[in-house]
Amino acid sequence: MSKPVILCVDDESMVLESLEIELKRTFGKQYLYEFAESAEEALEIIDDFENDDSSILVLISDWLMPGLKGDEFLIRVHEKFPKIIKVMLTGQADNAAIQRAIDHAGLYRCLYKPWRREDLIDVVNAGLMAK
Amino acid sequence: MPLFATEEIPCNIGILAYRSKELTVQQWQPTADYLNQSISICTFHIIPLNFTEVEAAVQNNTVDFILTNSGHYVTLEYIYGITRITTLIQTEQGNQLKKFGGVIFTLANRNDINTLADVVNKRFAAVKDDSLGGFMVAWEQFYEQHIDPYSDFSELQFTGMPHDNVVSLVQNGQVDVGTVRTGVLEQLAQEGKIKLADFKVLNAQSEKDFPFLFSTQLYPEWPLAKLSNTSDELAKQVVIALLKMPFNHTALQAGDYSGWSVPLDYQTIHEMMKKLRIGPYEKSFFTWKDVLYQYALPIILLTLGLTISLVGIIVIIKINHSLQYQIRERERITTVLEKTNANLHQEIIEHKRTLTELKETQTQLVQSEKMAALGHLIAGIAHEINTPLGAIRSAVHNISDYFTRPTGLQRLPTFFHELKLEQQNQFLSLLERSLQQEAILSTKEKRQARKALTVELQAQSILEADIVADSLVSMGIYDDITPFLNLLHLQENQSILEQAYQLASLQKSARTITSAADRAAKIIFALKNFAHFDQSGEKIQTDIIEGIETVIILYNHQLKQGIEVIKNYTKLPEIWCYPDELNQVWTNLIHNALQAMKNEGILTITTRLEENQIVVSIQDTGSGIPDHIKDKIFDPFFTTKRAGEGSGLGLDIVRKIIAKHRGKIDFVSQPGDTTFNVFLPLAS
Repeated sequence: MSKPVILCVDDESMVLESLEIELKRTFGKQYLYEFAESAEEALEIIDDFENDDSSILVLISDWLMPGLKGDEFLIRVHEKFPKIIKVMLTGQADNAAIQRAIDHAGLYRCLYKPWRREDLIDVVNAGLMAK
Repeated sequence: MPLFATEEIPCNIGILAYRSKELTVQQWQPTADYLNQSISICTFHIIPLNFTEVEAAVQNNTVDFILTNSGHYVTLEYIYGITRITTLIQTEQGNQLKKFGGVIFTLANRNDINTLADVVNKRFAAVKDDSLGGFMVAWEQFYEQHIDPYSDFSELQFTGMPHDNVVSLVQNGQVDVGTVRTGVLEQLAQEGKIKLADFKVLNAQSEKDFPFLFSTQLYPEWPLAKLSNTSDELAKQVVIALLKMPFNHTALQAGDYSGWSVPLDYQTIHEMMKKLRIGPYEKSFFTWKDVLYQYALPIILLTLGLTISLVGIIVIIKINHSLQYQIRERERITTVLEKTNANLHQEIIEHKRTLTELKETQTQLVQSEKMAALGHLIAGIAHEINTPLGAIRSAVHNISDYFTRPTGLQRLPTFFHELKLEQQNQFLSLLERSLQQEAILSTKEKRQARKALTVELQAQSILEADIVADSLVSMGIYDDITPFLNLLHLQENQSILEQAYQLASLQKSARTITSAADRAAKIIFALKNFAHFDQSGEKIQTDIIEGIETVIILYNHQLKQGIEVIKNYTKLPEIWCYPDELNQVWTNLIHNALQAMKNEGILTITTRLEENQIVVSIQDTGSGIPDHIKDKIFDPFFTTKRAGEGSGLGLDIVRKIIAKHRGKIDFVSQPGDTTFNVFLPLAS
């Protein structure tokens, strides 16, 4: 069985690269790490992984992105894969969107940019524990 | 001569006989004969009548014509409606007289009696109280002097006919004053009975062609009158005949008269009688009819006068009332006006204050519109700044962590020590590849590269190929791994790659910090440019394209959501302008364009030089402006946005700012293609 996956979605590559470094340094080889620059790309990845019998454990998504916005994206994922732990990482708080994600996507936590590494790791750990 | 004498139709002329009836017939028959000769339709008869008989004859219509004295005629006219048709011309002492009156006289030596007023309390004599010439006319004169003969004289004596009696009484001193018909004194003097010089006339009058002394009004002589039943035709023929009577006709001599005249006016006698309340007016003492009859004109005038006066008084009272009311009203209005004036003054002060406040509010609104435009950006800008900040924080943590963690710098000397020289060289070249890596792949490309590498590594029988591939891709090594195969084949390859990745990530973090700092700085710079509130209020020489770029940077996050930005820039000369205000123009136009496109479409920004002006066109592929609001979009407070989303001042302010630059703005719009053109003059 493949390793579980942590999927990060953000339209900013510098954010994805930062997350990659942080996550890999923290969790090392326990997980696979996937990165997508848009919600659409992330949906493809999720489908691929689920078909490959791997599973996405944690989904960390930006909210303000071209195309599908974070809350809609998470809701769509939640419909198919309610077990995935969904975390939002955003530079801008749109309370209504976050509330929608909480209500309809089972949003686990919302983090704000600029985030602290400890918070990010705590949230991922807590999410994994809660699973 | 008439062909047929019609004896059958009699025509009676009644005549007042103040002498004997025989004498009267004798006197007038020649006149009747004359008429019979002149007129054929009837036969004329003279009917002598005394006073009472005259009235009875008129009353019973037993006569057709009547000849009587003037006073008597007036009474009959009044009562029975007889009409005078001609006036008798008398002959007296060789004079032809159509009028007569009275003379009031006293003895010439009566120095105490000179005027009518002197007659008061004197003894007075007249011939008869109903004699017109013998008393009534004199009475009228006294009446005019407010003297009543019946009460103001010490004695009033009526002597009876003839008039001579009165003259005798005065002459003898039995009365002080007397009155007689005109001509009597002269007759007596002619007869030698008196001397005119012994008498003096009171209230003496004179009239042209009247030969006698007189003191009174003159009244017409006897009229011949027709009764009301007498035909006008007959009366006409009689008048014509009499007027045509030759002056030497025998009838004149017989009748002792001079001829006939057109009828004189007897109204004067009526009025005199009314005044004195005698004759026909005697009985109707104080009747309104009399008063009305006699004083018709004065009454009418008086009534009219009174009415006018009354009306006038009423009108004046009313006017007075009205004026007083008006004065009160005016006073009230004045008070009200004063109050209103005071209020107005207060209001003006209020308005001035309001105006000042409004101006301040306007400034604030313009400012707030600017801030609102900024507000639209803030959310995105927060994102734009927080993103590089997050990256920086993460990168810094990664770098600092490297120096403390056991697998970091501390591990490095041991790590190198364990590597063989050849391996060290390979490690360094691997690191060098990573550091030199400049191609930036998308996540998708990286995944593809990773898959390809995994396959390649598996083909090389390298363990945990996917993890190795992932590490390599993370380091930016996507292909051409041959130089590192020796290294990767080592059992401790993962540890080597781990060290390489750590070192590479340090550089990556450094790069991230640089680019993130640049990003943040760029945004801050744009913000500073945008929110540059020029306090000097003076124009600054500026490159318009820089301003547009500033706005595009601030809108970057929004633009990249789904907008393709096409920039057709022609290099423009710098112009003197208010840059921050123009930035508001670009912000508003771009913001509106993005909204119209719902963040998906093509935004084309074109700058060009056209004669002496700069043209900036901002074109979008949005829904377009509906025709029915095209003429409203520049109106203040016009907005299609929901409450709270826009002040509606955006385009109004845009237009004002452009006007301030002596430029203009226009637009063309259809669904899918809306272009706003801003024209700014080169020379300010």
